[in-house]
Amino acid sequence: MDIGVAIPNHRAGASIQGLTAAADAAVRHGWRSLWAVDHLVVSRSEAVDYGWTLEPLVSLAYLGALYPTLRIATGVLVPAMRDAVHLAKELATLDNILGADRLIVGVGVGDAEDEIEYANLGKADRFHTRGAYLDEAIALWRHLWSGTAEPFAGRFNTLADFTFAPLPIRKDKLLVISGGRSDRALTRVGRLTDGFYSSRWGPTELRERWPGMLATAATNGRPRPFLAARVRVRFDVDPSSTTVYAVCGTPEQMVAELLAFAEVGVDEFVTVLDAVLPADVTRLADRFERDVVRPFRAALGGARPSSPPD
Amino acid sequence: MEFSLAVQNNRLGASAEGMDAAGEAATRFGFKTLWVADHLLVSRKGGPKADAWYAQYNLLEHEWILEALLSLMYIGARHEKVLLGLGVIVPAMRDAPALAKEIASLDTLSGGRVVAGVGVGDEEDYLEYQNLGKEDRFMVRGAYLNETIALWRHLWSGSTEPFTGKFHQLTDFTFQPPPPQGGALPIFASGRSDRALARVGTNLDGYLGSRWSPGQFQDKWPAAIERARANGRPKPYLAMRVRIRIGEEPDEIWSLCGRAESIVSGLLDYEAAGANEVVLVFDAVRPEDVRRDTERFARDVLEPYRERSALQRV
Repeated sequence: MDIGVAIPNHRAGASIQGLTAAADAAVRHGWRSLWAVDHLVVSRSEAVDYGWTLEPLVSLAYLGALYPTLRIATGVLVPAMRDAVHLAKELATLDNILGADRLIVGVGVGDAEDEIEYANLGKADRFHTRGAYLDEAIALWRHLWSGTAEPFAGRFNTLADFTFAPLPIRKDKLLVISGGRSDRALTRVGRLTDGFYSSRWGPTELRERWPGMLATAATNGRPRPFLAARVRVRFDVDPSSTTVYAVCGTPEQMVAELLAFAEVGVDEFVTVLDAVLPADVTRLADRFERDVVRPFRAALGGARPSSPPD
Repeated sequence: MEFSLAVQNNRLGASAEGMDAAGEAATRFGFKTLWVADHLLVSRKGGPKADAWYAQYNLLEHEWILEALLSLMYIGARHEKVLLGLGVIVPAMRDAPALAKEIASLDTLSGGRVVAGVGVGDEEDYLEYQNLGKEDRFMVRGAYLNETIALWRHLWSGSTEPFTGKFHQLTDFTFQPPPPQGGALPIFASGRSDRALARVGTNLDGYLGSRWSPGQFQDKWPAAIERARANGRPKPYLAMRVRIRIGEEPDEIWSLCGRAESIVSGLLDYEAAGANEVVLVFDAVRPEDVRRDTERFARDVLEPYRERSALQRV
């Protein structure tokens, strides 16, 4: 199981220094990827978490240009708040300028609280068809990314006469994974998308849900999907006191949780630190590496990954 | 008069390496701004009026293109001195609120180096609007652009007041962080219509011209300056895109070509017509070609130009 980090591109004070502190920590500790959250113009009720946001694609282009060894990922991008064709071009561009195998496109539809944001973006009508829009966006992307000049006729997008270049380096095989917690969101994985990006779920929920997604992929003759888990990491917090799942408690408890994620089959554990300012990002990232990730790797090295820890 | 460089984020083969070479050349030769072009999904055939020009120019230039903002962020991250110019972006093909956020983030992550050139596209861009699901916008693209400028300045200024436009209404929103340049982030008009030029003096900070000869432009610019003065605005800035083809014969697209001396004279004519900046457009896409063209220009044209320009001022 690789370790990734959610870059602090949102919450008050998000800055270039905070982003580079996260990327520096990833390089220092051999973490695999940088993940960015997508919000654009939220309502005041969401201001604490997302009122202050650096746009994710721009942020990832910045970090991708400066950190050539890290993989970069959207976690998750919301196509229905934007336009699918425009995003096809942006994602292909990002893939081209970053180089092979560095981009993972995570997508979703947003929550019920995001309705005002859709309206702020001039997409009020899209809110109620956002799932269908996402499904079509993925199909459209793969169509454009394949290099075909054939028309595309969808419910939201109709293309007859177009030319799309350059293609992503892996063309229509560019990894697209999806997030969400609804049943509909889960059925995309293995049918339409190449993997799952879980959020706010611990090993228990994943253990229940992941086998179904594996089965869907097998039924559809697709390769085993990729599994990334976005997880809050909180130090000095009692597990019984948290309402949203977090890896917390003693270092031993935290290591045990990471082992449980690995045992479920998580390919990448995406660390969400409670930090925005660069010094906090550095301090918490280093502490996580020292107290949790290293012991986790040591434990994993000594145990069979397929057997649950004692 | 200063010099800038059009980054080839477009044309067949445009790549990160080629754009990086442009960034290196800009730093090496003291070019002020790197400008990128904007298209997203052009038509292959062009509209009913498409002609040889469409195939030769539009398609050749824009069939292969890397997205403008992300290209600019890539270059800006790697080359810290140069300004970053959108030359030009077409808001009506996108959405103004999302673009406000993208440009603000570009400005934040580049330390306040963005110049936002804006336009509406040409007649032949109708099919591209259609491909982007924005065909309804095509007929109101000028009005959409005007509202975009107002919305951007509203959001970038840090205002939390509602915004009520024809196309966008925002009442319950937060928009942070504002770009380092705030509501003063420079916005340049483009386009060859009188309406485009009128925008400059009315509420914009400058104009990015394209395909104008110095003679064609001589009469138009004083009117824009006068309009700005009448509106109580500072004197607008004039940047001119000029295609440079040293040692080449003239072709259908306006360019400065031929011997180095005549290119120097042409640049002096732009300076006399009021240009603050000439944006050099070379056809080069591959990194080695970008290096070759910029080095040759610096040696054969830029140095003689600076000498003659200094002499004229004396």
